[in-house]
Amino acid sequence: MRAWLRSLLNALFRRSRYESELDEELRFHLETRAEQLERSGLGRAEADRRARLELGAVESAKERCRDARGLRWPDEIRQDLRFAFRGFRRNPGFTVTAVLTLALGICANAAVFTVVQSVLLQPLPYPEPERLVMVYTVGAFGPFSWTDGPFADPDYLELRKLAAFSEVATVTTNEAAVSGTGDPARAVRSAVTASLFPLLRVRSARGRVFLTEDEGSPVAVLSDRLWRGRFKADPAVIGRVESVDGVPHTIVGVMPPAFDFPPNTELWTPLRLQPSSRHNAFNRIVGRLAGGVSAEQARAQVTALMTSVGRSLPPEKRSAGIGVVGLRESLVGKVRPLLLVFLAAVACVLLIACTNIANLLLARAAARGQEMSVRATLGAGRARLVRQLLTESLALAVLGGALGLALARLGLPALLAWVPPDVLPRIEEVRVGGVVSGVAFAACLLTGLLFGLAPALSGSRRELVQTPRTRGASGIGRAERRLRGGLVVAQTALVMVLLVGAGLLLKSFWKLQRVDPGFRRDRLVTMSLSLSDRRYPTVEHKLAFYDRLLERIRGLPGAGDASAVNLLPFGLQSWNGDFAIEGQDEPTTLIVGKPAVSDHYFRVMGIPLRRGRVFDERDAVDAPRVAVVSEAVARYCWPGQDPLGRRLTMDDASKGPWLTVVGVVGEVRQDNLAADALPMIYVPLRQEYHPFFLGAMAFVARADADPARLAAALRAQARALDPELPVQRVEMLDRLLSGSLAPPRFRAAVLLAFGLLALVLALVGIYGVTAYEVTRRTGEVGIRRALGAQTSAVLRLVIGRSMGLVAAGLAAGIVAALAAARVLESFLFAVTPLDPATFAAVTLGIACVAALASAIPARRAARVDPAVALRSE
Amino acid sequence: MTDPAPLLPGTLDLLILKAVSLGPQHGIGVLMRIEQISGQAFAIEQGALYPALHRLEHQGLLESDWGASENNRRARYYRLTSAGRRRLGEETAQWNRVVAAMTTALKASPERG
Repeated sequence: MRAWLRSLLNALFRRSRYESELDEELRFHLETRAEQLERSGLGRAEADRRARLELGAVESAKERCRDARGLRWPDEIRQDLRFAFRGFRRNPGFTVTAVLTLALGICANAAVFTVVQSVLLQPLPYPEPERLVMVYTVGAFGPFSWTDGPFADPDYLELRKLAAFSEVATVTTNEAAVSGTGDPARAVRSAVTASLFPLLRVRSARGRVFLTEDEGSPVAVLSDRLWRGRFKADPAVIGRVESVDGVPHTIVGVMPPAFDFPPNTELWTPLRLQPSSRHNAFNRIVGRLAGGVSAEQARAQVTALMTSVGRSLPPEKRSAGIGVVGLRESLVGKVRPLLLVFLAAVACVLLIACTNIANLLLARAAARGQEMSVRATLGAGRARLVRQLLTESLALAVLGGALGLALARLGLPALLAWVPPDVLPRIEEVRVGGVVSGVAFAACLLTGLLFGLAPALSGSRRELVQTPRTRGASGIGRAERRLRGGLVVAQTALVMVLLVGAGLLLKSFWKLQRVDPGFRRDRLVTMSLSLSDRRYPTVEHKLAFYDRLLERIRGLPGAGDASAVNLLPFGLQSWNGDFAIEGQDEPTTLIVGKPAVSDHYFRVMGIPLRRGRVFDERDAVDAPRVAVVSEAVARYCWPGQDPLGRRLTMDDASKGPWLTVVGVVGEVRQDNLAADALPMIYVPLRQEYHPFFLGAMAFVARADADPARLAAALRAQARALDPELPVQRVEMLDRLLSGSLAPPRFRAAVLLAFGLLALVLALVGIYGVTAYEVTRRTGEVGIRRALGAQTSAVLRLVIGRSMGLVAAGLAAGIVAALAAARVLESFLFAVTPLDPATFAAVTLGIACVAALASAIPARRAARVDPAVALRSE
Repeated sequence: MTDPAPLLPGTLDLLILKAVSLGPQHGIGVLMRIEQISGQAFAIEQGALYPALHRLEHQGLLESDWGASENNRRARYYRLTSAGRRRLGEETAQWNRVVAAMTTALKASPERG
């Protein structure tokens, strides 16, 4: 076997040497033989002649020698390729169409597969990534449920003791104001325990990471991005002091570019643990499983621990309270279904591209009927003809694939830049790598076979008895027509599936846009700012500042009314937690938002009051503490009863302080229009006594006329009051809200793009088939016209067949789409996967454009001059 | 001398292996040696010789090298490889079995009684 391969490779790669040696060997034979014959008495010329005669046909001997070396196949392939490329050059229209069609298909597939590979398949860039897990609380309460709940600080301290983990860390991420160097800016800040870095086995690129002693001290580590952007990659940044939320922090390190945990973090600071506070849980826990411990075993240990710790879980939920999920799964699990949908969609596009090229090849094969029958007459076997046609389609596939892969490589960065933030995790890891190139190449060859096989088989099935005369365009077989028709049916069905998917997502997006957020979004201007504990150390200082600013804003011309809130809908903060109802020992597991709002908040926002009253001057600092709850809280806590006058606490259930419910207001979508409204317990800003909840505040004002002018005025007022105030973010609430619509818009846009691409490809296919039909039936049409057929009858004849195929495709498509749409169910909002309106619209739409695509060639048929047509036969 | 008989199918390879086993030979040398060792009994079609040599080399049974011939020209010499030697042994044994069986079969006379 080895000798065989060596001999073949030798002959292949030293081809010219092989040929000259073969020549020389045979020449030596002839000359030596001639000499022998001369010696036996023949004349020189006669000896030469005899020697030649004895050897026989030299060329045939050579050919058989080459065959003996296994050179026949490579030779023929080379020949076929040369022939194919000559054909491509002679027929540039066909070649360009086919190569571009395939390039588009491969490009889209390579791009999507690259993302799938980098995001879903590639292991995380940390050592032993399979042992990294996230630990969550899991719970359900009434209509609310969660699978990735946070832990409180004491829980983390308990968890650290478990044998299931070799290391545990906890992180909490929010936005922080950074000032000192250059303009004040907001940065994504993660407060982490020092254990996070050794747990992930990562080191700093410069300086150091945190030490255990750092916990609670004002030091910071920068991400590579922040270092390069804000600090211009200054190597002297280590040791510099930078203000984080008004507190000076010493920069101790810079992380390498590839490090991105928790995702999108720009700045790490040490977490200050509060061992006694169980009421506010923000911490995500990440762990490295000890050797030989499974995620399930870890879950059992944590569950046992939390059960014994007790209080943080309600009695009825203790068994199902903990989730342990692989770190990669926790990062990418949510995006998997979406990426798989995209992958299926591009695969459909590629299939449509394949059927298109198959159709082109069939048409070409028909046009080359003469050439094929001549070749068959000259002795080429069917297998030989099939092989030649397949070589052509594989060559096309490789050309298209190479172009598509190059396009994907060039275009991917631009495409990724267009992806809205927070849609794709691990996006910075996305690269066109070797795996992707390999898979794309394999896909190319597969598609080449796929679209080449049927045309090759049908193109080579020529009866030799057919003379070139009868083998004109009209001598096409019934089987071939059926094949071409079948391709159109398949294309139409695939397009139908894609467009139904896109249509469902579009309709969801449309419905989502029309969801009532619970407040009036128009002309609302918001300004977020945060006060440092250093300059505003007490609750009184902070409240006084907010009061003064609010007064100034209310005095602004153009601002109708204004209010302050520390938990703005579609804002950056999230103060969620549990609470306790008077008379019940255990805190509820209903997670509520706990905004503190100033007077007029509900009026400014346009949140309707359902019962009782809203906050006013009566609710002073020293007045009885009050709360306003949203309808869901009232319904949940006191079903069928009057909530007014009831009491609850958001602190310790044994001590209070107790808040009396004075009003019930409408629900508000807090940060996601698709999600259920977040139940809310509002407290008056004046009565808020936790400094923690007063550090950051948002001001909302409804502009009378020009929101942009008001925005500028808001900023000026804040600056005037405190020029050193770190940073303000000023934004239309409407804009914040549409930002939350970016992911569904992106999903719908991508699927729509694929759908339209597929539609265009399919239309080219339908046009091609109809045009071909017209050419084929020119004679028939001529006779009909000569016999008096009206133009409309001719149009009906031609369009009729195309539309018959399209109708069959639509029917098949509806069945397929019914099945496929269920996959999209989790992405749909207020639309069922079987939405009849979408199905009807898509069906009608495809039918219309398909009719148009077949009408163009049909009109050509209708204009045929009978005399010309008959002569062409 | 009787007219040379046509070669039995499949025997050319065996004869070539045998001829080359007696010492490295170029194409025409192989031809002449086969004629010589077979007592001029076989007519070998020269056109079939070279494809057969190339096939045997391709199969790793022969290897070739360029050397000087008796008449001082560059000629391609074929030599038996160890695989070729093994094959020659096997084929010879096989051939002998066939001949013995054929001989026995052809000697048979009608059974009596």
